[in-house]
Amino acid sequence: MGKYYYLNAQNEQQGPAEAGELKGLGVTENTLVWTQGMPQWAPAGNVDELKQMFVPVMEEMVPPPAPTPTPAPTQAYQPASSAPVNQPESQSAAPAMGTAYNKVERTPAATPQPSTPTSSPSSPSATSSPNGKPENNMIWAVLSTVLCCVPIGIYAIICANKVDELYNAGNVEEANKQAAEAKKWAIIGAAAGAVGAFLYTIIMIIASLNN
Amino acid sequence: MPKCPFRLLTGWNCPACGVQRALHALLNGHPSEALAYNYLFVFSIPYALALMVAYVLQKMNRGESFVRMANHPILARVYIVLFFVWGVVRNVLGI
Repeated sequence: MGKYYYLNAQNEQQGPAEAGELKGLGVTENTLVWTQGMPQWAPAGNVDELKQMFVPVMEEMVPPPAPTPTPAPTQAYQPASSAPVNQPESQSAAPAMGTAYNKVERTPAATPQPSTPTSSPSSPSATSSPNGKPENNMIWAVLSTVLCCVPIGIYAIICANKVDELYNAGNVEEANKQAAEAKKWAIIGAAAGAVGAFLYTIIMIIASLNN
Repeated sequence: MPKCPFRLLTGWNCPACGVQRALHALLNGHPSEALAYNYLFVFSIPYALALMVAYVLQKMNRGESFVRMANHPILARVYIVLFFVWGVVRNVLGI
């Protein structure tokens, strides 16, 4: 991260300041900034390196990029955190939240705070936990191996186990994919167990009729 | 008792085999006999129960630390490893 000059409200040149400090100094996405290598002053929101700080503003009807994983523990321990955190809860909920961000950010003085309650009505979908983490479906995977007598479910467990890891690495899309895969194979495992039991019953009935 | 389709096809005992016999024994009040059908139960049954409890707690937004513990990736890895090890051991020893 380089050092940036910026203009304050009186249009006076300030800085240089570290990119990470700019937000604390009152720089918004519209503040003009300049650093070595830039032909001229530009709004901070247009500078690649600084864009990150204003992420919610930059997106137009596009699902927000993978959220930087907020460490679940710290949030979980706060008593007030039962309300869903404003992260993309799932792919299905994301577009709606993208619009919510935009609405918020159109108001001039809005600071890009990533925890507005606007999205709470649309948040928890069936496939996500309150943390915004996709449901890893581990429970179905394990139950299908324990109860259904088929080894297929173990593949579901392997998938389910990847979900949290991927999510914590910030790879939400892949995490959702693995969660779906886990669910699919847990169901296949359960179905195979049921079909097997069903076929066996039929075979036994036929066998006993023949005797 | 229906046989495991895996066993019908391959002739091997699959690592998950023995559930129905074990439940049957358990319901008839023979817990040790139930265990003998599949020693993996020592791990898998408590693990499955913990996951079920965690699932309910999570829906209620409670018991965060328990939920996290039950969903810990290490538990899942242990289960996966035990599953395969047990699958080999039981077929080699004929348990």
